[in-house]
Amino acid sequence: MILGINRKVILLTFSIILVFGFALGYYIIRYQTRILKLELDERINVLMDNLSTISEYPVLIRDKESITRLTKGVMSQKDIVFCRVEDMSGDFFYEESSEDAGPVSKHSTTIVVKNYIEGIDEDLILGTSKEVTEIIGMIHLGVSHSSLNRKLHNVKMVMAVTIIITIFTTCLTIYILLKRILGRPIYQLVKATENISKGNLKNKVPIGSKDEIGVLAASFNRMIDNLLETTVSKDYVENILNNMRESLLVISPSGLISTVNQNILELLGYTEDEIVNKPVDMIFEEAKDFIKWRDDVSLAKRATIRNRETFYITKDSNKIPVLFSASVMLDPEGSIQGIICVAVDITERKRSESRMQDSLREKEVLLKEVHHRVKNNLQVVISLLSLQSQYVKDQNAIQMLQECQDRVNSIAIIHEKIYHSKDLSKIKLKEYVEDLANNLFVSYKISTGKVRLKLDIENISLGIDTSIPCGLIINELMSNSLKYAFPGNRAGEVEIIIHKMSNGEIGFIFSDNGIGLSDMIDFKDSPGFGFRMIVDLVEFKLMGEIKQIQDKGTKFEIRFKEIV
Amino acid sequence: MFIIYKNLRSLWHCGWILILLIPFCTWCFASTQAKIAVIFSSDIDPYQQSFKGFKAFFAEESTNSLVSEYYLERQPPGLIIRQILTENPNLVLAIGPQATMLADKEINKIPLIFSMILSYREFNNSNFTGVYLDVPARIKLEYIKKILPDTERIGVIYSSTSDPVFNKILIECNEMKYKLISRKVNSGKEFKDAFKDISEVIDSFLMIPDTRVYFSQSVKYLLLEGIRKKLPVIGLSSSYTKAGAFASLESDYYESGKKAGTIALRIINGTKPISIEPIEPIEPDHIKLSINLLVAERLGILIPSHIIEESSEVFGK
Repeated sequence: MILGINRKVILLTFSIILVFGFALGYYIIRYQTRILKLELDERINVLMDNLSTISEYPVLIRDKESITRLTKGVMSQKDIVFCRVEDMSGDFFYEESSEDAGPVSKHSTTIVVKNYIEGIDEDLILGTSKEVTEIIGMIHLGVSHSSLNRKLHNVKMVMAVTIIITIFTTCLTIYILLKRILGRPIYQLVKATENISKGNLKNKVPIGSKDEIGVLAASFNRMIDNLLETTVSKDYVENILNNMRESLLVISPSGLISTVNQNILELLGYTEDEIVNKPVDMIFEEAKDFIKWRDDVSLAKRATIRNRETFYITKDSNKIPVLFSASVMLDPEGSIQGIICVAVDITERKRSESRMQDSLREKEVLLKEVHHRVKNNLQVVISLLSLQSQYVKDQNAIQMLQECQDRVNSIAIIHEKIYHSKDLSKIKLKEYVEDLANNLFVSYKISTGKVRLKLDIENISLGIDTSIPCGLIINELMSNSLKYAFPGNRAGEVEIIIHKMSNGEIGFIFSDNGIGLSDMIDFKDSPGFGFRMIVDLVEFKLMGEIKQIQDKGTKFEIRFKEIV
Repeated sequence: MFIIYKNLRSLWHCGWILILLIPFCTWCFASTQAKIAVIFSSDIDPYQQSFKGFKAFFAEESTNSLVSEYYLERQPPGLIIRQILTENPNLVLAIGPQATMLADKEINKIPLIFSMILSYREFNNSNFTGVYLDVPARIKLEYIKKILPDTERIGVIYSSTSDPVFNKILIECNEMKYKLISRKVNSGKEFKDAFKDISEVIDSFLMIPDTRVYFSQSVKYLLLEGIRKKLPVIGLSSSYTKAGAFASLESDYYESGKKAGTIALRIINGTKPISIEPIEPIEPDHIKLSINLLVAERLGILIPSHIIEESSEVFGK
């Protein structure tokens, strides 16, 4: 049997009042008994004192008549059932007892007379005589306790009735008050709790008072509000987690999978029960990293994994490429609470990339073929110009055709280089310049013993748009040097220096120690096609700067930026 | 100027002479100052009143005296006697019976004066005189005649200890034509029977100092029965009058002290104690009459107004 609070309080109150009532009743009855006995004793004492005083002289003179009169008066008093007056020799003057039954207490007192000390009669007059007392008799009284017991019985009855009424009234009052003050609010709280347990957070507890119950109800309502908020947030978060495109995985510090979202379950083909609380290496090959984190908290606090491409292992032991990120989740005390892993399935991307690679490779092949064909066509052009020059008699025309062949060759070399290069967009400048210079030495039949070629070229790769003008500029400058700078048997040196400068520009110095250009002619105003082309290519194609440096022989300094 | 100087020198010489005369005058004065030792039986008001009367008399007579007080209840009797003998006073005043008995027994060569004791006591010391406390029987009977003129039979209950007092009363009654009806008892227990015997045949009852007969119960009985039987009781002091006696005659303690003072002065002036008769309270100033008007009314006795006016104390007004 379950007792409610009301019944418990009533039971407790009943017990307390019962104990208290009995204790109080016991005390009151004892007190009343004591008071009644004291009153009786006092009455008896007064009676005996009076009797003793009055009977002093009659006893002294053995006046039985007076004593009888006195004793009869005493016997008429209430509760007196026995009276005996006797002298010290044991002779009694009077004895009488009533027939009143019941408990009787006996009281005795002495009859004392005062005598003056004989011999000093002056003290009798002056009232200064010392008195001596003499016991001349005894008075014995029997006092009935019947009326006392009747009074006590009445007191007990009144007490019992009072206690019963008090208990009944108090319990009833407390029950009503509890029902009103405690019962109803507690019942409402219980109902609210049951609603919460059923997930119903809409019902609130009415606040009826400002006491502790009211505070409890208010706190309960606040708790419902907070619960409402936190519960919604949890659903919201769970909804987010389950609907996010990424796979979410939370690994416990012990290396077990603690939380997963719906996406990863679908991705790997597991159910939640099959994957939760299982070792993480079941689905993840690189779980050893997490073991390191688990063993070294300081490392774990610093370590994160961002967008690492790795693989998840499916239930069917297939590998799924994922873009994986992980970070450590710490609790407020700084301990590792878990490792949050987010992964994106990149299977489609990988497939796309593969297709793109294939396409790119195909295009590279095609581009190389284009360059190869361009180079072959340019070689055809060079061959045609060479064949044409064999039918021309004029030396100037032959020279012009030769120069054209060199210029076309400079372009053909670029396409050849691109064709052989892995990177179809860039030309290694050093290799290109070496090949171009060697071809020019061959074309102009200049032995390396007469004119020595000195190259100081940094390993720079340039785009094709920059390489072609650059090659044409080198072709023109070097052709001029080989044709004009070393007449007769004059030997010399041609030097090409190309470096990338700190400002990103490419610095190009061409020089020879030949006879040099005429001082009267500014190369920018030269009527020759070669210089005009050089200046145009530098200033308008490469958007650079060219200047001639006065030195022995010829020296040009060119600066330009790579065309992007 | 010379005259002034001469007068100043005379004054100077006179001053020196006066200074030299002071010790001599002191010796002379001291030699005339009487030394009196007073022994009190106890420090109670009646004894102090008597002593006041004694001192008042000396003051009235302008007699210098150096008084030493000794109280029996404060010091051992032997010590008191030794101190008195060492002091060697001109006389010793014993106030109360205990002091009187001690002085009678221990002091022989110094003149003794007793006071506040009843009469008819025999002393060993012939150097003893003083003032009796008890009003003489004749005076009492005269007062009875005055306030109770109808009285013819006077009742007395006594024991062997009060034989002398009874004899005096008997003599005086015979002389004054009163019929004395008496009962001699051995103790107070016999008082009721004795009183019952005489109460019907007497007109008034005269108490005599006898501690064997009179104690609280017997006195209470006497006073109650006296009222019931309309017998005027002549008590021993105003206390008895106040308690229910019709009237009482007693010595005035202050006057008694003054009487002792007269005796003391005579002794100091050289009279031998043996030649001085003890004084009894016979003079009106020496006697106090107390009456109880309430008792008188209960007894149906009409007291003349002049008697009331003469009374020292009147109860039940």
